[in-house]
Amino acid sequence: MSAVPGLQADCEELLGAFREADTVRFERFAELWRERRFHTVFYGRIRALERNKLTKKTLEVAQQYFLPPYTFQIRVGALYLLYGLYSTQLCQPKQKIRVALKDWPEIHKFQQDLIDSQHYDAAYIFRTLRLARAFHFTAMPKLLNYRTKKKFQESECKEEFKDPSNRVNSLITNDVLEELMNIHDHYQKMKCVISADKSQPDKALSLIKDDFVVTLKDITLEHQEWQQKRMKLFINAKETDEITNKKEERTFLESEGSERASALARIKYRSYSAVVEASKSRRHRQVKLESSESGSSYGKSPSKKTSRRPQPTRRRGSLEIKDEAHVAKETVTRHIGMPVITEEDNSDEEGVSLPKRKRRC
Amino acid sequence: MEWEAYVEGGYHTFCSEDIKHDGRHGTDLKSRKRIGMLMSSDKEEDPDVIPEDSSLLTLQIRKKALEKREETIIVDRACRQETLAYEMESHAIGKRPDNPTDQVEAGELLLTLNIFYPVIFQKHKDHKPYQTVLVLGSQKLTELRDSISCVSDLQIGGEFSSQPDQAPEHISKDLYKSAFFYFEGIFYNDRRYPECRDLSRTIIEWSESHDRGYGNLQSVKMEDYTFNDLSLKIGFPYLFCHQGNCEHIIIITDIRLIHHDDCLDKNLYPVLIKKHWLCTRKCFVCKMYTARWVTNEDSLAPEDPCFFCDVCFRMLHYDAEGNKLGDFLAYPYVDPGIFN
Repeated sequence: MSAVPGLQADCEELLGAFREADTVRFERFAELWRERRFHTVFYGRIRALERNKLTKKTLEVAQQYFLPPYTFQIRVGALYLLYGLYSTQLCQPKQKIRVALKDWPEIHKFQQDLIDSQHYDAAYIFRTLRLARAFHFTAMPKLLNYRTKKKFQESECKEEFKDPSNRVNSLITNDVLEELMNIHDHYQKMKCVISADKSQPDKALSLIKDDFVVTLKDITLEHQEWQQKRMKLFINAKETDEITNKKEERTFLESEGSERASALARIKYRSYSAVVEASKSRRHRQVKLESSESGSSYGKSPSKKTSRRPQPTRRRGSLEIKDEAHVAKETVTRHIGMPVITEEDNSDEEGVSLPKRKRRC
Repeated sequence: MEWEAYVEGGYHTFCSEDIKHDGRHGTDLKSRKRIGMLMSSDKEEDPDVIPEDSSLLTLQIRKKALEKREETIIVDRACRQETLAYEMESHAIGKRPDNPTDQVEAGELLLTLNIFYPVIFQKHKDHKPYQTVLVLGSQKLTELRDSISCVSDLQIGGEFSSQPDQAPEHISKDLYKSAFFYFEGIFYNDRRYPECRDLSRTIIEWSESHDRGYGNLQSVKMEDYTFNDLSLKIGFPYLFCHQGNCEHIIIITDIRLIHHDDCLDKNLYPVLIKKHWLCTRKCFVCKMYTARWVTNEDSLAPEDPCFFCDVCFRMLHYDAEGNKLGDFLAYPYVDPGIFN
């Protein structure tokens, strides 16, 4: 649990606004800060011991945006945020910002980037923090704390602030392309040499497309464009979601959502149609057509044979196409804090024991 | 230049050179950026009051929490334990030595250690009580050893019902001075006094006798090593053992460079900044003072064992001349909460 409830949302809101302003100027940030009267986050009747703790946590929350994987702009915003929080905190003496040894080279590089790209206001703010001795240079990013935790929470990164890491691009760089081109040329020449006609390779040796390097480059570019478009779409969808409350979201994500929907429909259709009418004598044992809530909605027909043995791998796959009720149930159980329900759940479904199920729900 | 004055403090060992390096950018921009830009200057505000119209989620949540507290709480002030905790945490902050030679040098390392108490009560199942101390990297291990206060050092062995005044002469700390730290396969034995024994010898022999897979355990003298000499893992449980078998787990939770605002008086280290508040056992008679004696087979007591403070014990068990009344066995008792 984050020790300062709501703070993360506030910080993200401020940084989000800063991102939208599409600038790294401190003036703009200060404006946004003033609009929100952000210095009041420390207000409220809090005693000294508690205040120290709160302030420490607050700085910790703000500090995470200052480091990768966040984009340059968000990191500059986080720097201003740290500066603002550090200078307006009410603790006496001021609580410090922890900088871990492993992060220091990264921060140093960031500072150099600021200077090189002539963002002197940001560089100045960083310097001011240094001169105000705002940092504790520590071995570890967090002060260790030993307590048996009752609740574990995964910390999640805000997607929009992240620097889109592009594995494809990092794999296929210009150097690699050039190297490929050279190898390809070399390969062609070799083929020419061993061919009968020295100017052109033999037809039989034509095992690879001639222009594959160019094609590869085009594909990479296309992928990059697609990724950027998707990012924008995602952000747009989020924003409209906030305003019109979910209705419009569908249309924006239609292209991706429809795929999933149709897959769902397909599976549903198949599972319904697969139940064949049993002969009269066996009708009492007939496989019932259960609504998917009852939990027997595997991707296939609910024949008894298949459900006898556990199928962890297949189940995992079918998880994604589970209906919402099931997904909701799973998140609910996770709240209670029983992380290994999948196993148990499985056995429940094998037996198709309905009463047991109901009790669990 | 104004910047140099700041740098003079010299606590920027991480990279003091680059501070000077980009100093030229600062001066022309200086006037523009002020904290004032972040605070609205229109009116004086009371930090205790949460503004009504705030859009910040944090404040809305906090406001609700505070309001709820105001409804339910009767006396709104810091309790004793909170005051104590705050004082412990902050008492050394910013202290400066009288004598400049005692000043902690720039670039000194500051270690935060959690020293756990060897209590295994059921109620401490979830979080074990510990004390937190700050030590300097240049300090000797013996300085930490001397600063660790533990009730087992104050135990008094023996039965003293016939001569209760002689009890204080038999404190364990003076009788059994051996102790060791165990860090990374090496036992650091306290050998400062001739009567110190090598407590680790039995363990090393045990380990070697059957080749139990603990590698080469070594034994060295504690007084020869400072924390800077050690190679340590943060968060790894190490051991301090004294009085033969009183074992304290030690965990290093943090290592950082010393800061200008820290206590800079060398003599004050190791600084105790956190201590667990242990329940004390009270005297059975007055129910007020911490027990100092425990009796067995006591003809005058309703329970066996029975606890007494010093005054009540003497009033009940001895006459005006100091003669023993009734039959009983009396042992000095040292309460774990005595350091509260």
